[in-house]
Amino acid sequence: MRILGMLAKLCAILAGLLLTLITLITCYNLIMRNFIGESMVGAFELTAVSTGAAIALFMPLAQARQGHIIVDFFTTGLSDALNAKLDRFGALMLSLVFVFLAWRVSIGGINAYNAGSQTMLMGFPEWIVYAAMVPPFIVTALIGLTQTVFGFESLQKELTP
Amino acid sequence: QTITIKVHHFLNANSVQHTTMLKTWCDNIAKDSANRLQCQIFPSMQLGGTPAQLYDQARDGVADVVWTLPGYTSGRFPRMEVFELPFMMTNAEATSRAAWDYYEKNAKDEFKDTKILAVHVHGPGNIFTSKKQIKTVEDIKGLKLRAPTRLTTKLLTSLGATPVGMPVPAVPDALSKGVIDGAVIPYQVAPSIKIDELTKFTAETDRTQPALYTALFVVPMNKAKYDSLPPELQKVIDKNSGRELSAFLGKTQSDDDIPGKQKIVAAKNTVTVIPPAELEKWIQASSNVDDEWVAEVTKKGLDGKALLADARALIKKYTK
Amino acid sequence: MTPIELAGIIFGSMLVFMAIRLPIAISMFLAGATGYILQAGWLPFAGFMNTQAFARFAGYDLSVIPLFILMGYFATKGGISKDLFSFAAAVMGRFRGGLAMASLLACAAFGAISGSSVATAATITGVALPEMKRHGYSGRLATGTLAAGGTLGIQLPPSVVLVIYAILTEQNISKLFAAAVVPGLIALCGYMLAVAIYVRVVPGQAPEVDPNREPMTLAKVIGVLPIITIFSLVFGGIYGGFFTPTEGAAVGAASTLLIAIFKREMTVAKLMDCFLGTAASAAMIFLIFIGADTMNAALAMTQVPNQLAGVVGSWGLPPLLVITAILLFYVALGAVMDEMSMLLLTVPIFFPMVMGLDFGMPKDMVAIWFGIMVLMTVGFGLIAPPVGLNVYVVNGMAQTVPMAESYKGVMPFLISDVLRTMLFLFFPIIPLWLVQFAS
Ligand code: NA
Ligand code: NA
Repeated sequence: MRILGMLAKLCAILAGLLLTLITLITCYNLIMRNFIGESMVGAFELTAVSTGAAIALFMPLAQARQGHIIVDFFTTGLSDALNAKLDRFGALMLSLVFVFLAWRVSIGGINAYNAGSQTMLMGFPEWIVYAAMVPPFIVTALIGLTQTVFGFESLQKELTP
Repeated sequence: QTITIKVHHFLNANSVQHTTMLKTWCDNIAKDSANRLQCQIFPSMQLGGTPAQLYDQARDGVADVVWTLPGYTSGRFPRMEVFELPFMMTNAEATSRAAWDYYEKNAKDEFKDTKILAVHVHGPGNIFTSKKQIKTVEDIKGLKLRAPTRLTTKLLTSLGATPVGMPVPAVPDALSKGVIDGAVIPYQVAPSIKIDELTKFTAETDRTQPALYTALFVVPMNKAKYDSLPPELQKVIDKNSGRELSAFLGKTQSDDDIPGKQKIVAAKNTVTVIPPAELEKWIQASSNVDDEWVAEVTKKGLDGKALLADARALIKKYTK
Repeated sequence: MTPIELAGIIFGSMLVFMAIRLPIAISMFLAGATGYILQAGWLPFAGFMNTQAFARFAGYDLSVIPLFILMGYFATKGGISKDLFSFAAAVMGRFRGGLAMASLLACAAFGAISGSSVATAATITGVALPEMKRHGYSGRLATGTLAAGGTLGIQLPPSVVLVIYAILTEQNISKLFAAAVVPGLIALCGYMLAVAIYVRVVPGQAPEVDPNREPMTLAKVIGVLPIITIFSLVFGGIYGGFFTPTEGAAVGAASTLLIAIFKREMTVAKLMDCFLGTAASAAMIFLIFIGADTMNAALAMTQVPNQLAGVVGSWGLPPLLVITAILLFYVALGAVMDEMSMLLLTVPIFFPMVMGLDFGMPKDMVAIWFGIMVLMTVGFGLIAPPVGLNVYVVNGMAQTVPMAESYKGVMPFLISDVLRTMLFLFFPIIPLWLVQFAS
């Protein structure tokens, strides 16, 4: 459990660094384009694919922190214990969805690899992004499963800053 | 009992691609099958995904038929990319016929996981600029131009421009703010991204000469869907695919350049025709793009030189 | 099964899943997946899912969202909100309810560089709530003000809601941002007015005179320079022709980080907090995208959305009535689900319908105006009971205030919202003026 919390954090920090890196590359590219008259034509594709990997890497932390919006309006009348059970069921469903996503994205990545799909201008291999998405999806699924079995507190300790 | 064919594309429901090109094909298969084949056309990526994923959607059966650009996933269809080299095409209809023959002869392998119904090109690309009129190759120097394809990026660099990459929907905004000085695109697309309002000058190449660039489109069909059809319906699909469909699509799309140009002219855009003598300089300046393409393709284990020669010969054969 | 029945089942099952507390994104995904498989079968659905996560996460048009979120966190952790509030408090302190007004001002200023309402609410609440408490403001007024003020994060550009609307409707992001400026400022004034009236009409909410209010100092003026710099850089760059909105978000994030480092406010630990915060917010939004995409594809397959525009058009209702009906529907739907999911599901359906109506103005202006009207209902829904996301966020940070008190506190602001929405409904020129002026 401890390790899952750490992994979630690690993924998020990695993604944050990736996004920060992208902001710096964008600034550099803008200076080149506006003042030197040269530019990386595919810079926007680099932004897109890096963000793609970053968003996937953000997923474990969001689930570990119970960050996804739920509607509690219809269940306010129910007991806390029943609500907690429903939330665990929600974590189970989310976990199954991420198992499914990890599976399908793996297939998508294999397809992209076999086809040699690249971004249009820069020729960045798309399978790399797919490959970067699968591990965080699996971690997210495991986190959801842990929450289903042990409740949500099981992961909170590692995540409070 | 009717069979529904889900057709998916990325343009809106008012585009000529939707209302005429795909719709005509749908009407024809309905007529030829006595309404046993019926289309549902989904515009604007309604079935999800990105334009670059349309080809895979046809392969995976997310849609039954799609209309897309193989150039969206560069590197995946290296043989077919030859038609996007600069100064290849003079007439879109003829080049679309040539593209079909070339596909059958050289490129079937690249598309083996779908059934290709047609391949075609669009009309000649032009340079639309907001501040500076382009008369000679020197005028292009230093302009920030939005490049539509991988190979036009190289073309623009060779001509001295700073190619800028951005998705089509971002173009109007970037033009109006001056993030880019212009865009390279055919007339047909220009009004849909407000080029008529946002630019003042158009440089079009002499139409008897090879065009600055064109882009290639394919219409793949899901293989399993085709195989699942009874033989008589497969025949209907066969009848409505191939060289003539390619020619029809290429012609219809490039004919739509005419109303596109009318809008540009109506917006008081100054149209400059680049005469053959000047164009020769452009062709010279960018001859390295062909060479680089041949070298790249050869590195992938293909005979680049022969492919380029074959494409040129086929275009010549059909262009009168 | 008829298409209408099928669409009804898809939508209905989503509501059922939501009602039993499944995350909204998962509810949409499960309902959409079921509808998709029922219509197209398993293999196409599997193929769809092979590429959908890549399509949504790695799309350039949406990269602007995590970048604006990251910028907001850099600003928060870089101490910018603290400086902002102390400046605003010095400006507004002389008025009755001045600290509540200062909170609104700080929300607006922070909202001018943040694209998210929840982030704005949380950030300003962090500094303003303890201060208001210390000066004797009621929990009701304090939390109500901050929840409403938080919506200025999306009412003023940059705005995640407008980015999403722009993408769904293929409209120009910069024009929508420009259109939101005047309405956003009117919202700020309206909220200020709401505070001024409320503290006079309802006794005991704020001290009549604040004896220990802070004076204006040079240090406080200098304190707001960073945010002015960032704002000028981002919007000057976007409207001055140096970069696109996405590039602007990247420049904004980078410069905010640099300023925070320069101010010696950014430690490694705080930087990590920025990343973790961005992670939670961005992942939440993008998982909703995946759910909504699945559901939208399933709904599109029923062909009901395509036909709806034609059906409503054939009724020949007065256009203003149709818009009003849509806005009321949004308010009703927003009462039970979150606003972003609602937009993702309904804008693709309603937008063609609205564009088919004749309002006596050019189509692209109608598109921008409708976007602003939609934005109004989103702002309303974020603070309206029973499910107001901003109220949850602010109330969660104010541990001693009961939820019912917070919902009472947003009432004056809801009235202001309704009046403002009606103003723009009958006078589209107010939001459109700046767009026309700019072009
Ligand atoms: Na904002
Ligand atoms: Na709501």
